[in-house]
Amino acid sequence: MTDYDDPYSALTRELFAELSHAGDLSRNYPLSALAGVDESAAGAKLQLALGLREATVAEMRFRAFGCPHLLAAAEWLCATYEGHNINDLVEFRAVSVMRALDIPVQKTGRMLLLEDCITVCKRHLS
Amino acid sequence: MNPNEFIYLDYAATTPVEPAVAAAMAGALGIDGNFGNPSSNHPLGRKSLQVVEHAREQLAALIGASARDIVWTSGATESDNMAIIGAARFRSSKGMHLISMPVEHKAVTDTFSALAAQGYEVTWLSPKSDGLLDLGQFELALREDTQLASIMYVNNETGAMQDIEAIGSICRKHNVLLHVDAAQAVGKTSIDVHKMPIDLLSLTAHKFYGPKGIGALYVADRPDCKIEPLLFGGGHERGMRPGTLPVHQICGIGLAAEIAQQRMTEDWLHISALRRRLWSGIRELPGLHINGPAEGGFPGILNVSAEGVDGESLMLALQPVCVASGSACNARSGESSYVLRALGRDDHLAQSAIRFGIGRHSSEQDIDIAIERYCTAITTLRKFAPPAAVQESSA
Repeated sequence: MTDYDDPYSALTRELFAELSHAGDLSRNYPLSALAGVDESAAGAKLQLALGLREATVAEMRFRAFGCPHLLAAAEWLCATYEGHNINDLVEFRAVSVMRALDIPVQKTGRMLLLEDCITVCKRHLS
Repeated sequence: MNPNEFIYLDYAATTPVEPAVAAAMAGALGIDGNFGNPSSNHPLGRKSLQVVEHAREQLAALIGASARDIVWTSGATESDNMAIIGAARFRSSKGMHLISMPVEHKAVTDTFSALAAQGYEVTWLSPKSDGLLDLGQFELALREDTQLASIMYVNNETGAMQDIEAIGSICRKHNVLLHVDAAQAVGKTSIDVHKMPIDLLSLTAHKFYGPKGIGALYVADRPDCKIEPLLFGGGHERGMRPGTLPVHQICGIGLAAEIAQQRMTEDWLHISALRRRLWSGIRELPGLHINGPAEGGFPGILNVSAEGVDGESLMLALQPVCVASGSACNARSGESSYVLRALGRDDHLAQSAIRFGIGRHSSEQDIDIAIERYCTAITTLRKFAPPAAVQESSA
């Protein structure tokens, strides 16, 4: 990527403009988890909330403080894994969202917040 | 992307060339125009020289200078380098102590740092919280061996306007040269270098609706105010800056200067009204901080930090409004503004800063769109942030 390239892919822009999964869970679930992590160097923060029905991720919400890539990646994560088995979510790796959104490699540390947050959620569920 | 889709509020970064200026410049390029080399001793050369000297008079009139005291350069960065390095070297036998501020443009701070690496001693005077120089502290910092002080007129990030009259008077009292980076001031506010105690003044055309790539350095015509040249090769510009003169760009800066002088009051009133409208429209948002003076600064710049908001996300959420998150020169570095950090802003607040640059062509509609986008962006980004982020950022 050069200085004159748009730093945000079209999908990143689209997701950032419509953060429909930002906020809190809409209802109570038999099983739920809330986890927050932060990246002290850049001050980015991420919070994920999962609402489960048996092993299915029925609802997924996030709150984030950080750059557009972090917010768009969190939105992508929620939109992608809602309706999936929790085990699929646990297998999530940051590289997948970085590829999907064409996120610059310099943002890798920030994208790992997503993995960290899922790990903490899983710990709360077990 | 269609430029018409954008709301341009980044006039402190650069301005569009006035159509009359662009037309005049085009007239100096082609076979039917004033394309001759102004150094050539034939009619076409002399015609080009006439254009160059007319522009010199137009620019000199804008700042109250004599035309012979204007040296053409490629812009304010070159002018700053020429003035600071050239004057420091010229006076180095008398002393090697220099004074400036950490809120100056990089063209100044980096130049002083380069001189410091060569053995000069530089005193950096921190600004007060409003960005202004403490005059008492300034006078105390002057020493027997101080040769040059460089203080900018209008800060490019905050709009803070230094009291150049007072600073220059102190310099004259202590026989210290004063260089003023006036890139953001020339063409916007009244400057008279014959009445004001200014020895060296840097300016650039593209900040006042002229072309990029052309600027000037004013050098007072006094025996103690000389600069050693940085470049050699032809003795142009009284030996201070060699190189074939770009007639079309010089023609452009001259006309832009004349137009700026004619429109100065009108422009000032226009942007003042729009700044008031902008600030009135966003000031009710909680957790906002003006960077720089709330009143009395240059009205074309409004720099605001917001608690609990990430600056990069705010910039994207503001689109199609084009603003700056810092000075345009370091906007891609990802670092928070060194100017705002020098004013005492913490990293979070410095990162959330947005500089609105209002200009001649800004409209009430532009400002209203900016207000709507800014308020929506701040409210939305705060709403979606984890509660701790908002608390910590505003702590």
